[in-house]
Amino acid sequence: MQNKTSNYVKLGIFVVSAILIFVLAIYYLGSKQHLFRTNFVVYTDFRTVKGLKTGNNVRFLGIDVGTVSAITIINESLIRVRMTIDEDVKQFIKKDSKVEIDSEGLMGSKIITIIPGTMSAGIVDDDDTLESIETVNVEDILSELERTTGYTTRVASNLDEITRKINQGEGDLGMLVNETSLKNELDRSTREINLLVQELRQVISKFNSTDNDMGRLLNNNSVTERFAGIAENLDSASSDARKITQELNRAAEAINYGSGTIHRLIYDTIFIRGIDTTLLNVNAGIDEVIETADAIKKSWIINVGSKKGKNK
Amino acid sequence: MNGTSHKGFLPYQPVREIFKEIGAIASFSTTVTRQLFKRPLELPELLRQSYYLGYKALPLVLITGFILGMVLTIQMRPLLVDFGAESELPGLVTISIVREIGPVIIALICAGKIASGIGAELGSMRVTEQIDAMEVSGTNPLKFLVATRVLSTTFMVPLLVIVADFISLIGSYTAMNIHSNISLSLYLSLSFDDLTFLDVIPATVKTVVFGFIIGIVGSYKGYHAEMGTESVGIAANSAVVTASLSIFVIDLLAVQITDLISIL
Repeated sequence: MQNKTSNYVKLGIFVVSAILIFVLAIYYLGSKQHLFRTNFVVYTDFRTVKGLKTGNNVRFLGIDVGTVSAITIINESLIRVRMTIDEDVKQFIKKDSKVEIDSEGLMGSKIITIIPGTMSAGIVDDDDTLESIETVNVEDILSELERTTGYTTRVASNLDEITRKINQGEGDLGMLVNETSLKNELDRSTREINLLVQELRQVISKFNSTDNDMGRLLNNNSVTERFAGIAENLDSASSDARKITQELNRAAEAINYGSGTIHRLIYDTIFIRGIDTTLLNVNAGIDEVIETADAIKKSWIINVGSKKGKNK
Repeated sequence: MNGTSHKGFLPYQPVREIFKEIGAIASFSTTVTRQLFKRPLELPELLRQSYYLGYKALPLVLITGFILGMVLTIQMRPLLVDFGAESELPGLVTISIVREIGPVIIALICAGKIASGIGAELGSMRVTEQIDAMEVSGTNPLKFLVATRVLSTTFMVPLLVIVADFISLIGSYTAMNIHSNISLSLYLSLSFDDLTFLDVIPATVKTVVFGFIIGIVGSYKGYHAEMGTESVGIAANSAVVTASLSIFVIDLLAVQITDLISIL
C-alpha cells in the first residue's frame, strides 16, 4: 500500500511538473506577445504592407512594444494595420510619430517601426491613426542593383574593347603601347641623360675644386673681397658721377633759363641777329682794312722809300 | 457474401486487409470512447496505468529529449554560423522541437515502449483467458483494461512531450555553451522570440491524439490477440508498427490542418 502511495506521489510530481512547464511556457509566450498586459490600439494606413502579417512585432526605439493585431484592406490602394501596443509605452508615443515597415535582417520577417514624434504634439490616444512612411524595400534595392549591374556590364564591355584595341595596336594609345621604336628612343634618351648626368657630375666636381678659375671664383674668398673693393670704387664713382650730373643739371638750367651769354647765344635771336650784324660789319670792316692796306701798300709814299733803298 | 464480391471492390488482399484493420480499429475506438464516459471511473487503475505508462517512460524520454536538443543544435550550428546567423539557432531549434521533432520522436518512443507493453500485456491476458474470465465475472474488460490504458496514454503522452521539449531546450542550451557563451535568460528569450501559439497549441493537441492512438492501437492489438503464445509477441510487434505508422499519418494530417489555420 505504501509502495502504491509512493508511486502516486511520483506520478503526481511528474504530472504537476509537466503542467507547470506548459503553463509557464504559455505565459512566457503570451507575455512576449503582450497578451497578459494592458494594451492600447493604434492604426496606420499603408499602400502596401510588403508581406507584413498579423502577429509581427511593433518596435519602438529598438524595443518590441506590441504586435500587429489585424490587417484590413480598405480599398485598392489603402491597407489599414491595427497595432496592439503595451500601455506602458503609450506616454512615449506622440501623435506625430511616424510608422514604417522594416525587415528584421535581410531574410527576417517584417516588423513595424514607430519613429518617435515631437513632445509638442502630445501623447497618442487610443484608436489614433499614425502617419505612415513608405520605405525602400529589398525588392527596390535589388531592382536598382540589377540596373547598376547592367551599366557595369556595359562599362566592362567597353573596357574590354578598349584593351583589345590597345593590344592590337589600334589608335594612338595602342601604338604608344605596342610600338618598339618608342622604347628604343626612350632607351637612347635615357642613355644620353645618363651621360649628361655624368658630365654634369664632372663639371660640378670641377666647380668644387680650386684648381681652375671657376672653382676659385666659387670657392676662394679673395676674389669676392676684390669684387667688394670694386663695388666700393664703383659706389664712389657713382657718387662722383651723381655730383657731376647735378653740376651738369645746374649748368643746363643756367643755360636754359639763366640770363648768361650762352643762354642768350642759344635762345636770344635778337642777340644772334646782333652778332650776325656785328660779324657782317666786322667782315665789312676787315674788307675795308684790307683794301686800305692794299691802298697803302700801293701808295707812292711807301714806294718812295722802297726805291731809294734800291738805288743805293 | 462470398469472396468474389470483395475481390470486385478491392481485389488485392493486403490492401483489403489494411482497410479492414483500419475499420476495426475505428470501431474499437468508438467502443472504447463510449466506455470512457461510463461509470465507474476506475480511478485507481487509471492512476496505476498512468504511473506505469507515463512515469516509467520518463527516464527514457528525458534522456532522448536531452540528446535530441543537443544533437539538433550541434548539427545546425555550423550551417548557421556560415550564414552569420548563430543567434537564430535557439529559435530554430525551439520551433523544430516544439512543432515537430519533440512530439513525433517522443510519440514514436512511446509507441515503442507503451504500445508494445499494452499489446503484450493485454495479449498475454487474452491468451491466458484472463479477459474471458473478467467477462464471466461481470467485470467489463473494455472499461477496466482498455479505457483506463487509453485514457492514461492520452494524458501521459502530452505531458511526456512537454517535459521532453523542456529537456531538449536544456540540451540545446548545453550544446550552445560548448562553442559559445550564452546566458540561460538570453537563450530562452531567443528561443521564444519566434515561437507563437500557432506553434504550441496545434503541437500539444497533436500529442493528445498521438497518446490516444498509442493507447488504442496497443489495446486493440493485445485485446484481439489470437490464441497461442506467439500471438503475444505478434500483438506487441504489430502494436508498435501500427502505432508508429499511425503517428506519421496523423502528423501529416496535423501539419496540413495547422497550415490551413495559419493561412486563415
